[in-house]
Formats: sequence, structure tokens, C-alpha cells
Amino acid sequence: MLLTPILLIGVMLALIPVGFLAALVGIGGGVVVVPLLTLVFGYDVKQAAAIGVVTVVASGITSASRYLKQGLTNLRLAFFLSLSSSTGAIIGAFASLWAPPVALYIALSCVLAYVGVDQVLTRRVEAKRIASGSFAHAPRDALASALSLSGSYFDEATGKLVEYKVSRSLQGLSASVMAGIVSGLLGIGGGVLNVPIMNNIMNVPMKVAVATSKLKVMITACTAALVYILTGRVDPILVAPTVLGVSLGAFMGTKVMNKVRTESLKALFGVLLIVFSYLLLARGLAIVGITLPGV
Amino acid sequence: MGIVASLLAFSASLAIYALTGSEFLARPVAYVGVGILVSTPPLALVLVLALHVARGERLNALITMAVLTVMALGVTLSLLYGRASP
Repeated sequence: MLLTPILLIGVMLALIPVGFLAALVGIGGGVVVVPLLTLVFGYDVKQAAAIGVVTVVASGITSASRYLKQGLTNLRLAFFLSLSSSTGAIIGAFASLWAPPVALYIALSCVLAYVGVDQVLTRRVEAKRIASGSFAHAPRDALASALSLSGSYFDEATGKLVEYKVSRSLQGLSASVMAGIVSGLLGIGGGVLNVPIMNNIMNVPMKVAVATSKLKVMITACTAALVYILTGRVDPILVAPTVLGVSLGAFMGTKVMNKVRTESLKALFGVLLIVFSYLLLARGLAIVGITLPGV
Repeated sequence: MGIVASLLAFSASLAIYALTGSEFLARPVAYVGVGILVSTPPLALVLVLALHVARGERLNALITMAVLTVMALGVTLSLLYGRASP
């Protein structure tokens, strides 16, 4: 493709809002980057997929380092869950050689729609829990205690130090393996699944779940990026503007995230999940020749 | 530090490309950026591992080591079987 300075600047500017949104809700952003590069800027699909993965790593590093400084990322929890999801992703990637993806797309679409609606409907509950300090009270979990997974963060929106106690770590670990398998089977990063696993199952506040998810997505995407680079599928000139754009957006997103009220963050995440649910449903149905409107 | 260095390299490569119009000159600089970018997460993991070991957090150190091993395994298997892991 013909590379013009205008095209490169256009790509960079278009990626800024993607990086911003990804940092705000804890997703990688590959689901948005790849269609944007192919449909709007005319990139080849294979090139766009490779660039998308490298972009997720860049967005992950920018956000994770900022969130670590802000005391939002739970490093131990991120590695604990990365172990299971990365293993699941490898199993899923190889299982995808035999498994038919249609049913899986539809199943995941239903799960995301359910979690999305739940996030929107329960958006005020978390704010009440932060105000009452109930995140610090959860059933005792021996594994979480042994690994010191619990922690605290300063919520800038409410001006409160929020303590939280991680619980149901085994259920979270199992869900994370399943999420890894699903992401491996469908070739998605899994950021949309990380946040609900931590927030809904493991008693982790939304903002910590978002920050920890960014670190987790970065680790998963880095493995894939290394493979793409080692097999020569990444064009560095095309990567440059996407990385610059997404990193700038992610930087701005991390400045804002902790100041945003949890209700708004949950509502935004819920709406995003519902959109992804529709996109995945469309992708699944497209395999059997059914086209949904707007996709 | 890794992200700042890679962003500088990417900016430099774009500047070279815009000024000279030569992909040949801009490409090596962009490759440096890509190299720094993807080597940052494994290096960060090694640093975290060292931190856990220094603090005597054996279980967390084991988990971090296992994550590094799974990453290496994922890359190796993908290269062997010719497909990218997710």
C-alpha cells in the first residue's frame, strides 16, 4: 500500500480515541483497531491483525505503567490470573484447528450481552459498596491470603481509600482458564472477560479490575506479538503511527480513569460489552452466511 | 522507560520517512522501536520475579516464573506449528 504522511498522521489521530477508551475500560482494543485499519485506511487484513496485536502491547505498557504508579494495578492478581488465561489461550489456539467457531461466537455473544446488561443495571451498587466499605469484607480465601492478593487503592472520584479483600480465587482461576480458552479459540484478547471475572466473581473493585486487566492483556498480547514479529509479519513503518496514537490516547485515559465515578465507568463498560456482543454475534452468523445490519 | 524509548524510536522513524520519503532509512529505526516495545513486558516480568525473590515471596515468585515459562512455551509452540497464539 502507498504510505503517505497524510495517511500516517490520519492513522495516528484515529487511534487516539481507541487508546483512550481501552485505558478507561481495561480492554486491549484489538477488536476496534483491526476493523478500523482495514475498513477505513485500507490496510490488508493480515497486516492489520499483526499491527493490532503490537498496538495492544503498546496500549498495555502505557496504561499498566501509569496505573502501577497510581497504585491501582494489583500485580500479584494480574500474574495469578495470567498464568491460567495464558495456558487456556494456548489450548484454545490449538483447539481452534478442530472446533467449529459458530456456536462459540454465539455463546460468547450471549455471555457478553448478559454481563453488559448486568454492569449497566448494577452500576450504582458498586458506588454504595465503596461508600460503605463492604469490599473489605468477603468470605475468607486461603489461597488469596497465601498469595497476598488483597489490597487497597485511593479512589480520586470519592476521595476515599478503598480496601478490598480478594475472594473466590479458585472460581476466578477456573473462569480465567475458560476465558483464555475462549480467547484462544476466537482470536480475541480477552480484556472484555477479565474485568467481569475480577469484579463480579473475585470481589475486586471496578477500577482495580480495569487497571489489572490492562497488565494482563499486555502479557497475553506480548506472546502473540513476539510470534508475529519473529515470523516477519509486522511492518514497522505501519506500526509506528498506530503505536504513537494508541499510546497517546492510553496516556490520556489513565489520567482520567481514577477521577471518573464508578457508576459512569460501569455503564460505559456495560454498553461497550453489548456492542461487542452484537459484533461477535454478527461475526459468528457471517460464517453461516447470515449478515446482520450495520456490520 | 521501555515505552518512552520505543515511542522516541517510532517518532524518529516517522520523521525520517516524512523528511526523506525513504522507507529504507526509516525501517531500521522503526524496527528498533518494535524490538524495545515487545521486549519490555518480558523484562518487566523478570524484574518482578527478582522483586518477589528478594522479598522472599516464594509462591508469587513461582507464579511469575510460570507466567514467563508459559509465554516462552506459547511463542515456541506457535513458531513450531506456524500459527500465532492469541
